[in-house]
Amino acid sequence: MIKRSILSFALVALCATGLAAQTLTVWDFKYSEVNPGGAQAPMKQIDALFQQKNPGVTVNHVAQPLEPQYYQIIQAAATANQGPDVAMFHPGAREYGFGDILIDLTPFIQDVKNQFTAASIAMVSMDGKVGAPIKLLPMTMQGFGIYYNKAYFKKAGLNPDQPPKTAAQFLAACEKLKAAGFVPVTVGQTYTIDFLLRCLVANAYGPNVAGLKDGSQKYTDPLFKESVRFVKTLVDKGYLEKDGFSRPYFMDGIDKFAAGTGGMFVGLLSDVGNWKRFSDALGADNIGYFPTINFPDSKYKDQQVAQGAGIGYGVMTWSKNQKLAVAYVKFATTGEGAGIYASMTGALSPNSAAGGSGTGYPALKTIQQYLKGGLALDYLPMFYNGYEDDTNRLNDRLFVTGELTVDQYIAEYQKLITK
Amino acid sequence: MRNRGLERDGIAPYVFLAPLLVLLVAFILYPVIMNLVASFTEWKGYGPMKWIGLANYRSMLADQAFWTSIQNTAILVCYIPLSVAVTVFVSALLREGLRGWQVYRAVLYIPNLLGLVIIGVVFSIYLRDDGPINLTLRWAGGPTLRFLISPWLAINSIAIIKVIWIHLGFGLIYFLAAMNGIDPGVYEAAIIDGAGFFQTLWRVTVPSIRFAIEFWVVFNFIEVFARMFSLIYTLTQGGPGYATFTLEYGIFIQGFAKFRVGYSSAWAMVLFLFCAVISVVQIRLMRRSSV
Repeated sequence: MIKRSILSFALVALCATGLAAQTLTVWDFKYSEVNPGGAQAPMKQIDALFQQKNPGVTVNHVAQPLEPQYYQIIQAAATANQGPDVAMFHPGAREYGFGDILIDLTPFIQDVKNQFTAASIAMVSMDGKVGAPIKLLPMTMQGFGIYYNKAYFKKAGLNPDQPPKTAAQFLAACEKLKAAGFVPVTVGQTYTIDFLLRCLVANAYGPNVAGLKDGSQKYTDPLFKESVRFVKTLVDKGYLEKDGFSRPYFMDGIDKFAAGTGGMFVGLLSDVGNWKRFSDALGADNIGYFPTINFPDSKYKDQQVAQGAGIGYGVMTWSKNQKLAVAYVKFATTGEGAGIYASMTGALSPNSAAGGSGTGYPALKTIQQYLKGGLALDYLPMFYNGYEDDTNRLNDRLFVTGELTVDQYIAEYQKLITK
Repeated sequence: MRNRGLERDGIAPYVFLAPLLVLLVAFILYPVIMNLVASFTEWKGYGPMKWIGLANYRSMLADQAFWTSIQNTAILVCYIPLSVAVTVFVSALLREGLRGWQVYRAVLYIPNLLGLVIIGVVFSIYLRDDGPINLTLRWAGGPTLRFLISPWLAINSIAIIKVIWIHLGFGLIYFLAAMNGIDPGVYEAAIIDGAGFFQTLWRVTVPSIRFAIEFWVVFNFIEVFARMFSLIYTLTQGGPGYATFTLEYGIFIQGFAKFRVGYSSAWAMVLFLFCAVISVVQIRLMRRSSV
């Protein structure tokens, strides 16, 4: 009788444990970053903390490949109507394109919504419309800018504390760097052109950049043309590292600049190729930053191009653990979770309560000053899935091969928004 | 109504054929029909399909990228005669009993053992502006050849690597086997008549292996139309610009980068038509040769 009771008790306990145990599957394209400052280490910490706070829950964090393969895997999961509970997405076109397989988080996030910047909430809301369903919670904000190596500036006879802010100053700085034997701008494939153009265009249009999408702002506008022509000048004069365009991966360009091979690099604010990566590699006091290049005719100056959100987590419609999945998304993007991610990777969190590091990084302080000042939206994520593939093909053609003239290039750009 | 075939042969042939027919229906016929249906819809690859009639075909015909992809595929097709000429010529050389020919054959076959992805990655390193080939050229005082940047060089590099170099090893095995079937007496007679290497090649070898050459041409067509993807994806990703953007690559980009599966199905129907025509030609050639 006692034996039977013990057995029954053990069986009930086993079943109870089994019922309570839940596995939450998370897919993302950052988890494979095992390098120092990479995303895997903080994500492991976040997962461990979440498991600690939710006994019986196991987080199965799966490293998936980067885009575009990542979204092909998401597409396959959607076809099968099964896959992860939580998945990482790029806010903007990618999120909106897959909006039908993401649940609306709006009712679940009212308690934390105010912690996020208005720009980030707007970006994760469907089609960028405030008040539309929120399908992701952002982990980072994103933007682009120009990092420079102060030691090389000094050797080239430039003032390392005064970055070249106007077009004329920038060209002169490139010339001096070149004359001193340095590559003026290290290149990471055609993304260097892509990012630089986004910096210039945002600076040219300031808060009016959305007009490029709705058609109220034509691409033939002199300011857009000036931005394109300026980048073309950099290519023609050989200021953009020529060999870098045939490199297979953008990440190679980041590594090159971090290894001290160039005077400047058009990098990101979060994720990869950011202030932390370069400061850690070349010395925190050796890295300078400026957000853009000012043209004489431009109404706006020193605008920091920014996406309210860079990457974010969403909950899939097919998840059988939606409540738990929402809890995980909130945990990773707010409070302790967001703080861990920001401090360990150098990502800038759109969550004002997240904190993060930054002390001892002058480049970050500079970025934060620009973020407080003029902020201009990045126009590229406003378009369709695969838009960047189309624009990068144009960047290949025009800037690298000279196959298209500046006017033809602009005409092609104009055509893209009608797709 | 009596079934004469069933009466004559019994049920056994149908039972034996059934598994293959099931596979053909499941993996060939059904996807082709589904692709045709999808080409008339707006569809992301999941979720409901929205019927839009011929809109995808109209968009495709107005899409410059589609016509560029056809043009690029045509450039690759132009390399097929060269592939045939090179492969037959090298096979004939090896057949002549070139010293150490087994070693050459083995070395030339190596690319067939490597996957296209590996070859693509290796060449993306070799051909870049600061890769080993250009570093050697610079060291020798030559110019930098921008294989992956210049549109003209990029598409021609792809053609030389895939259509000629990779196929060469398999072609050698294939053509040497075909040449071994030629009566040695014919060659002896040609030599007695004073024919040199090129005359023997042109007057004896080529006519004798005509069927093998015809098959090789058809094989190359199918390779060019439907098996270039892995190399292009790993080497140039369709670029620079649209310079190596082929029909097959375009199907992938539309369907799996832009998630316009309905639209990419319209592109796939064009590829299907090309491959169907090639297959019909192949069947006719095989019938003619077996008469």
